[in-house]
Amino acid sequence: MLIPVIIAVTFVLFVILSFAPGDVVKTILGDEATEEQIAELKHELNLDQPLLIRYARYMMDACRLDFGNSWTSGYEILPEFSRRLPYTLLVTTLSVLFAVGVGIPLGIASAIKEHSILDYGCTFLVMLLASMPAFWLGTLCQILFCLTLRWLPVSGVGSWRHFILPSIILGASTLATMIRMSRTSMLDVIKMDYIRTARAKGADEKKVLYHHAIRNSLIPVITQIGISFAGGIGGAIVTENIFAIPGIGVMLVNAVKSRDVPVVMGVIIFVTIIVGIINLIVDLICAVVDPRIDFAS
Amino acid sequence: MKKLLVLALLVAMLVPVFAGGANEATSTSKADKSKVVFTVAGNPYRFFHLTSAGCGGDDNIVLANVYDNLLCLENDGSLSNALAESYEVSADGTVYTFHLRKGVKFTNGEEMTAEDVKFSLDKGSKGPLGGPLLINYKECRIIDPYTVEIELSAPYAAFPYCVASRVGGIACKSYWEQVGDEGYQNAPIGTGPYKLVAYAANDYITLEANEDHWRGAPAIKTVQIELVADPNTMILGLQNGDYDVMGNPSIEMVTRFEKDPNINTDVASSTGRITLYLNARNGITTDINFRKAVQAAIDKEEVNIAVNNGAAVLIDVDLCPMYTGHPTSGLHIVEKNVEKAKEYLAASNYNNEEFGILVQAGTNNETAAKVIQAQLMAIGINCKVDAVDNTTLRSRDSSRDFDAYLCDNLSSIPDADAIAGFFKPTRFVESVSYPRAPEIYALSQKGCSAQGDDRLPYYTEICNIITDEAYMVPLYNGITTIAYNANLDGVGAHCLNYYLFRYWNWK
Repeated sequence: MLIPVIIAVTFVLFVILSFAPGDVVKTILGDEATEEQIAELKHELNLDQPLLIRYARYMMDACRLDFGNSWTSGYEILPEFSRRLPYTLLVTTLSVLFAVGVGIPLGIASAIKEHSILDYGCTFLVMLLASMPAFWLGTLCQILFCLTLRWLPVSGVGSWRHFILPSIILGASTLATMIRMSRTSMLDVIKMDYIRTARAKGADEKKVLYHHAIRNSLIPVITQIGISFAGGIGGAIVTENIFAIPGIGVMLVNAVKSRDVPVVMGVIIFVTIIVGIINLIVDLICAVVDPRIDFAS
Repeated sequence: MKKLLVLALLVAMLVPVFAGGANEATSTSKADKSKVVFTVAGNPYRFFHLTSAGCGGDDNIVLANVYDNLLCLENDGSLSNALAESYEVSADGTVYTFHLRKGVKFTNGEEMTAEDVKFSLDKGSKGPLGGPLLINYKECRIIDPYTVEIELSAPYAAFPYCVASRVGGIACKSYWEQVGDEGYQNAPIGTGPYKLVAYAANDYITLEANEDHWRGAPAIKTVQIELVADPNTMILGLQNGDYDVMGNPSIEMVTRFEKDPNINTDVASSTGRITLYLNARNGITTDINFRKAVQAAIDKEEVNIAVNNGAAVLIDVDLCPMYTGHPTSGLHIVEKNVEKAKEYLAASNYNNEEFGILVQAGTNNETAAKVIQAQLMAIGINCKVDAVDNTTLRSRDSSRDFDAYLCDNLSSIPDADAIAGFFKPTRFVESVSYPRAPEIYALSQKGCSAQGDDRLPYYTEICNIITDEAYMVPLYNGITTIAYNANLDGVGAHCLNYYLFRYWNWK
């Protein structure tokens, strides 16, 4: 399914970028460019060709891993993407680890202690995190932890300390989702007949929870982790800009602002592939956790 | 016991996270007095200005420090001698003779001579910036290894500014012969105070001092330029000590920084004019009474307060006061007069049609346009602000697809001839150009052919035609700003957003 998805995504994007108002060539060359210079550059960039031919040429080049050069900054896209990707993956991975590490235990605990102070506290936290936009929360945290307390740097990637705030901010909304998902899933499971049966048979409560309930409640949560990871790569666009992390989010934002079509197309193709791979990994993990899933059949 | 152990482990893991106080960037920039971390928005990437790709305003951040010109444009818009020790101009204004400084070395060790000057100017004149920046350039003749004569096809009084512009940086001819355009772009060689040592697109640039610079070794040995898109990040980073200097903070931030003892700021007039250009060829703006109504309805001071906290200098003509050739007397000036504006509107053919102000979205100009919108609505004009992205803006500007267009016209050549830009026959096709453009252009040709005060009558007449025809409503002189660590000296805002690192030093 990945290849049709890539073709569909890139084609829609290519059409949208082609029909966007304005002339990128005039932006590149400036006000004083002559008609000859404009025509020459349009020819050089294939912009004098019909849309379908341009798209076909682009995709054929992309198949040979030739994603071209940035129109506005001149750099080669593939090496630049490779340089930036580790930063995005690092921040996204750390954010998901943070969300999973904190969110799942909290969600399960609040399900086990339903209607307790802990449960209400978690619900409040979920509402709070889900309703605070990343750019706002990020700036507030920069003011508190960087300017006021002087614990952390504001921006950049110079040391491991630079990644703490971005990961927490990027993981904040995922954390809310994790708490909610794991709580709901756990509540569903502990009300199942087989849990009641296990208790009726006198099984130890810890064994009932850890052995029977948690494992089964994690299946929808694992699927959500995959979705959150993919969403995190998208969310990194905001976080990377706030914390000046030189990842693919910054690369994409700059390219969109300047209508740098090859960069936008290249980044979207790579991100689509990464998201596809993540979904595959999630499916495989689900199969391990849930014996009812059988790929062979 | 087990719980206590887990708690202790958690604390042990968290302590290093929060320990250490200030971050590395803070300690580096303040302890290391040879380095400055400078943050700025923008995307400099063309480090050889003489290629067919030319170069843009952002590239000046690097070009102005890696290359030297014959003359240098200083912060306040004045010219100082750089690679040229002196120059003279012929009586007819067509030949400039530059006497070059001896013993100046490129960063590859080769001596800069007249050959390099001729190579750079000849190549620059043929590139995309040759027409707009090396105006009337005909040829460069080598008189001796340290003297060149530049002949112009017609006199151009502002030519010294041309050689001080970004296309006038002197490159090494022999090095270019070895590496070509691409090699030069990847590893630029100049005679400037700094060398480019590292670059990552939209990320960072590292410059290192040229210890053999003819002016003497710069005090700051390393300038780390961090290209940051989010202004909030730059502001917080400057306050936190991650950055030492921030380019172009908003005027609100400058006002706020003034209360911070650790941060100094500087505000200077730029070479840009913020002006509302009316179409005059299409739609309701073909009606002079309507244009005059707009002209009389605008309160420039109100716009200035809303956008710049009143910090900018208001202008009556589409020229900055610092420009050479700026008229000093005899100008027709239109003051705000709401009653008069209403009279003009009543006398016009205006029938409540929509009047749009084209402007780049998200800029100060959008704020200015919204203030003007309110002022025009107050006299009964159905005004809307048409805020678009930069690419759309440039496209619509070149085809003059607007009723009114509000923009910042930053001029690389701070001379009165800048006013002729909108009236050049090459700029717009006749069908969309201003009706009196040929007349204005002819006057500007006379203005740039004359020298000294003899130029003033021509530019006065141009300004008066523009005012009388209400082709445009000049608002205010643009401003440039800079904020920096209070322990730094020599940092100043430059009229053309150059950053001359050679002046910077730690106290």
